[in-house]
Amino acid sequence: MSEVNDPLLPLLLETASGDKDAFRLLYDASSAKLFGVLLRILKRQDLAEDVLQEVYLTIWHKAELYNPTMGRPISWMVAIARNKAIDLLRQAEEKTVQLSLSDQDGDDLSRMLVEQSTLALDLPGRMTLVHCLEEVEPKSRECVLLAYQYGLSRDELSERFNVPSGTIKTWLRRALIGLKQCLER
Amino acid sequence: MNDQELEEIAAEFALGTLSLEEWQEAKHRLETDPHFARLVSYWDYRLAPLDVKDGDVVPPFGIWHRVSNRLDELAGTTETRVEFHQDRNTPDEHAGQSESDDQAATQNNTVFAALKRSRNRWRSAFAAAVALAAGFIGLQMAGVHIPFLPQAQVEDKFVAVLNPSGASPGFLIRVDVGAKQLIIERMVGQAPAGKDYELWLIEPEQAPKPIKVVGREKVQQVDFSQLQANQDSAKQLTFAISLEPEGGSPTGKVTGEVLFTGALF
Repeated sequence: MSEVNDPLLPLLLETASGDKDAFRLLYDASSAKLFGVLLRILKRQDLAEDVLQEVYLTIWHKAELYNPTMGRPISWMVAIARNKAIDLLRQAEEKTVQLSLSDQDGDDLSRMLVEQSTLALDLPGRMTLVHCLEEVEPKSRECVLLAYQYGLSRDELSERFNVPSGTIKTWLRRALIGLKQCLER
Repeated sequence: MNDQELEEIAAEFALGTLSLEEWQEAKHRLETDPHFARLVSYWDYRLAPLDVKDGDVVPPFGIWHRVSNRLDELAGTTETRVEFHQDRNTPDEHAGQSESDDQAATQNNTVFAALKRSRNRWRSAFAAAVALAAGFIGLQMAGVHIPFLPQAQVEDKFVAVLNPSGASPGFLIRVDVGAKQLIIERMVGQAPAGKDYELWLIEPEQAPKPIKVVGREKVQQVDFSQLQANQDSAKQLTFAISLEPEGGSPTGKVTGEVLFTGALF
């Protein structure tokens, strides 16, 4: 999965060895991507800024755990960013803080789903993932994409699709397992 | 829980759709179950292509400075004996929250893991080798014979000299990261009759952890692969020797006089 000429790879490896200059370059090369991810999920600039800082501190501390044979550096970093953002979202939901998705976001996403070419698939996985997504039942696919892009919870998806939360869970799991089986074929 | 369920939870964790309760449980499992961590990692990478291409937003300029300052702060507060170029010394982000209980036998907060992390950092820090050599020379001058380690192994070894207030060493602790062994060498006389020396591991803001009652032999070894530490860096670890009743502290806490202490370097 790793690409030999991925410019982030040497920077992340140098970061893992404690090189702060390389870390600065890694930040410059990846922070716009991660900030975009955080803004999309968190919706609030102030929260996204705070979480971005935490994300890079985590990247610094955990860089040694990155395994180049598993995937690209940006995928590893996006996973950290999404994880932190969703962690905050779930806690916020508990405190009934509203950080919900607006209708416009949904419209944007629907358009995106139609134009599948806008998915930033990395080269080896690109065709496979598009193909595998096509095999997933449309509503389940939309659930997976909304959850991935916007961090929607099962309850939010349940409201959006007007079905019980348990049904969403079934859709999601069926979609994910189907995706896995397809990717491993 | 069967494999299928675990796989589904890992997938939903990576996707982020678990309920708060399930999410918290999965977070804990991630820290304690390497198999689960691998499943989540699989899903993190498989789902990554779902990220939209055109969503980049350049963050405000000040964020880098906030990150940079935090790193400097964290490094500054824990700098101790030797200055290491671009070292970083911060507790693992999870330490002290989900794993505040020492029972959580995670792979990442063993002393061994901390040492390995430190070793990796030190690899790039030439100063470490110099400091280590200087330490040896200092001891040689003090008339203590310590065999030099082969150069290739230096990065895998740590030494703590346990001194009573800067005088000649009382104990020498060598850590062999490769073999996961702690080698304890007694440089002073045996403990008085009816008493035993006991070795402790001390981390900042933690109660000392008993490692071993030091017996009569001059050189002893301890497997430390399972020894827990909350610190990310071996530089924050201190060893101490106390004089305890025969057989060691009856309470698991230091009860006798602390005779020697020393930090790893």
